[in-house]
Amino acid sequence: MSEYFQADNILIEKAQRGDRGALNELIRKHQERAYQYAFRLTRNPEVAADVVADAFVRINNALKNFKGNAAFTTWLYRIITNCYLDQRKREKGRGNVSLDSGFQHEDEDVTREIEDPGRTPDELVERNQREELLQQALSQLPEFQKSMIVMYHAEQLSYEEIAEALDLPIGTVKSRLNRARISLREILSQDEELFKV
Amino acid sequence: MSRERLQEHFSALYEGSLDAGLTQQIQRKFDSDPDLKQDYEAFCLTLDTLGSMKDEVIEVPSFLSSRIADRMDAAVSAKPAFSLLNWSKSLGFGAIAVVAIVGSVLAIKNRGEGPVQANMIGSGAAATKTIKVLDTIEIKMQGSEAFLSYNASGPKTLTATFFGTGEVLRKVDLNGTSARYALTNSEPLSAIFELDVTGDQGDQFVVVPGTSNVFPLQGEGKVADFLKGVSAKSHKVISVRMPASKLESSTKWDVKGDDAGAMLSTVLPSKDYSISTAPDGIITIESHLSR
Repeated sequence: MSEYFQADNILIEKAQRGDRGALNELIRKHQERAYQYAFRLTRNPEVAADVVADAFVRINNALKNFKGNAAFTTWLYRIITNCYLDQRKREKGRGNVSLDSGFQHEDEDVTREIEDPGRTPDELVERNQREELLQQALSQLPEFQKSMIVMYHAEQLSYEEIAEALDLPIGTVKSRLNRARISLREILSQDEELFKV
Repeated sequence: MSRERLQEHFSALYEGSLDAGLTQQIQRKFDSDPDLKQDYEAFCLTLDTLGSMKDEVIEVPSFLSSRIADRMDAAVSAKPAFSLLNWSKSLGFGAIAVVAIVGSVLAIKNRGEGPVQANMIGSGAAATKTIKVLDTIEIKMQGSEAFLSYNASGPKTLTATFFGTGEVLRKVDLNGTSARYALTNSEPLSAIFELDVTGDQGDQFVVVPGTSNVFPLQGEGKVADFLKGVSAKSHKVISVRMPASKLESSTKWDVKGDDAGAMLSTVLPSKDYSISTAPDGIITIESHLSR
């Protein structure tokens, strides 16, 4: 049985007026979706939960400024993506990677290292092997490309929604997604058997 | 057109959104360049595999809600302002209904920067608009949410556990401070949690309804099951003071309507229990044995 929730705009209005129950409801309503996206980015339950928790803290801090011009879910994707990028930045201890800094690493050479998963034809069906390899390949993509791939292919956001979430022109989203897919295909083509036609 | 330029159109070609002229141009190029065609076919295979990503089943961990709540609490306590925020924790334990108990030890300081809500709880010299009831677990409704409040007169440890599993939801040390927790249950079934404060006598529980109001009016089971059913049917929070052994004891019921007080009275006789309803709708059951 599902919990019934009020519409986002109503919950947000109430939360902006200080209704804690409404904010709780907003979080309960979206936490599962938020986690699924975060997990797809991080592939780690603990890290994904941290990313989601950070995202809701940011949402609470910024909620009073939320004008409702975009859907709450779009905003949520944007904030989770930012939290994920920040988390990766902390983890790598390297330079600035943030959503607002534009598309990072798009011309960066992708390291083409695919671990031999030690598979045998008897252990996994071909489809499962492909999916496993896909996850490995995704982990090698620059974070921003990976976010776009996950938003489109796993979260099934439209180009328009991704453009809104990432604050990019739709044409840019399409061209960058195309480039991300080509990068992915190049990584995956290392596996002659499964990804070369 | 260069190979790289042609690759820029792969996604649109795959999606069928490329204009007819360009599509024909690329198809002709494929005929003359088998490598490019093979490149595109590998691209299509990659996209087909990407399409399976949406089917992945991702289990949301039981600790997610508490992680969010803890992070919210930390963020709030880091602020010097008096914003009072409690966050829901919805911890999943399989099919067991879950109660969220959330909150933080509050030290709310009225710095004259805004209104202080009348029912905020302060600590120490902090401002408060209500009379503090010391060393007593209070369950009250605020809007549609139930809250647990406790004002400790000295060192106390408040522990909230799931009744039945013994899972500790929250354990907090209060040293003359106050705690306030939202009690929410986002699961379908009602749930009971046990509240314990060091030094307090008697067993205390709170039954919190879930999202479902399904309850068989005739049935048998433990007293705990009956209370959960009444809570679900009436969608009322029930504060219970009775021995835990009594909650575990078996009973039968045959009740009518959805009036919680009436349903409870049929199973819990007045010679053994006091049943009352507060103006905010919270029902209190007190066993004469608990005193």
